[in-house]
Amino acid sequence: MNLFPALLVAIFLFWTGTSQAAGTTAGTLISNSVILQCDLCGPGGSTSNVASFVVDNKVNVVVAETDGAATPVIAGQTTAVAAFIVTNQGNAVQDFALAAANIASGATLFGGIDNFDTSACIVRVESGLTAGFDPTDSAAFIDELVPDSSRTVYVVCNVPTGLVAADFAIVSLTATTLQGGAPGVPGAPLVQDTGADDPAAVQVVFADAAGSDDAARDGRHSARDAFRVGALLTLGKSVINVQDPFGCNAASGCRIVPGAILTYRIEAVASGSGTLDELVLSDPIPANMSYVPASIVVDGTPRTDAADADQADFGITQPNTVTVSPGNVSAPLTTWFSFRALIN
Amino acid sequence: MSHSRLIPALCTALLAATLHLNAVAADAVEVRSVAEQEIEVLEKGRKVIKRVPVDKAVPGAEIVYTTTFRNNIDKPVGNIAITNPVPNDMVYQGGSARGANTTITYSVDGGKQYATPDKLTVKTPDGKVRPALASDYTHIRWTYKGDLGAGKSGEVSFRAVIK
Repeated sequence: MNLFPALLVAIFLFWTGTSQAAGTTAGTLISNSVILQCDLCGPGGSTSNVASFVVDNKVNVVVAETDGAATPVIAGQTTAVAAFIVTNQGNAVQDFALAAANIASGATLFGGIDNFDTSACIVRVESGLTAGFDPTDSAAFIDELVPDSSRTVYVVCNVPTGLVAADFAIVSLTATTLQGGAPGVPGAPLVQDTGADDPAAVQVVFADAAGSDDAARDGRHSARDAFRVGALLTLGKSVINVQDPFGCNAASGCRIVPGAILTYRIEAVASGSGTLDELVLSDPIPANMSYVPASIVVDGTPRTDAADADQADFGITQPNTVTVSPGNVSAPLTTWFSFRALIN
Repeated sequence: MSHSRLIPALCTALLAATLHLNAVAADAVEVRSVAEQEIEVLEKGRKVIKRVPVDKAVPGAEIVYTTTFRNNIDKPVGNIAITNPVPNDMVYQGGSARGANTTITYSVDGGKQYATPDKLTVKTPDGKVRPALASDYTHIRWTYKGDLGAGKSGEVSFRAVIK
């Protein structure tokens, strides 16, 4: 089943960033020693002192919005989700505190202008168990993130009622670096060491860039995402009839066997307000099944298989696919289509 | 035996023993290594580069390693060769090795053989041969030309970046 326009947000699970290697692990001892040989030096020559120092903790975190577009929402929606990726580009394992904020009216992003605030925003870290935001994503901070790796983080907010299509809210996510080392518990905030280097101690150096709402070298980074009020499309598919070639009966019901004809129904619900432009719904015939000619029905009216003015066809717009094109759909609206297919 | 002959003999023996102790206990040439960074400071309104002990040792930081050597005996010393393995987790910065009155060569095979950069090659994973890069060097060697006079010092240096 395909959706046009695409309203799915690509969900990234544990994505390993490769843009900039974090470098040598903090605490690594780097030692240098020199050997000098000469004609009067004796068999082993002279060995110098060992000049050594430990590699300091370079702190660098990057927060990025994931899909380059505002999340479509409807007025009154709870659980409006904005997704970000937080990457540890430093050279030590760190925890990260997470905070979401509403950005003030007038700010712009993704072609929209902020004119409302969401409420009750929470921040949750993707657990990795299922794609997308769901109840398994319960952690509110990032725990023990290894250098050069990332976590997906969701900012989940409520959208107020009384909004109209194109209303726009911008939110930010800020990740602040904390000490790592204690799994399950957020570490203490990091403080940069500004004094002279102690070659025997791991000192903290902030190397982060300025984000959308923070400064360079402050141990944190931020990015923005947005919610745009408009029409939302929800699709549902079901089998509404089974024609058993041997006849349905009381004992075995209608059997789904080769030779049976199934009637599929796809329902598209446009909720919220505003328009879904040039909506196209399509459903490929499943494997091992064959389309029953002239079986397309849209909103109760039979349609031809040919590509003509009745906004539906089989196999023309896309091969082996039922395609229905309602065109511009103004929410709220429900439309449905059905067709029949034979099990080979 | 007269005392006058015994005393010079004893003195000679004592002197020989002392010289023998000197030759074994202290190196003829003493060698010292320091790790530093360069920072820019304002002096009298002008930007000046100063070397300080390693300040912030983070990945990407450049370290200047300086080796000083001194002839501690009263004779010239020759055939001086100073060998510095590139330290762990560091990348030698090509062309940065310095040393007055020295010939500089490098090893890419763990210190077995040394050659000038134009003659160094490494094998690629698929068995081909390519010219060695500075990042392939495992050791740096400074070969001092001629002798280092009694009590005289010399200095060599190179730069490497923390991986």
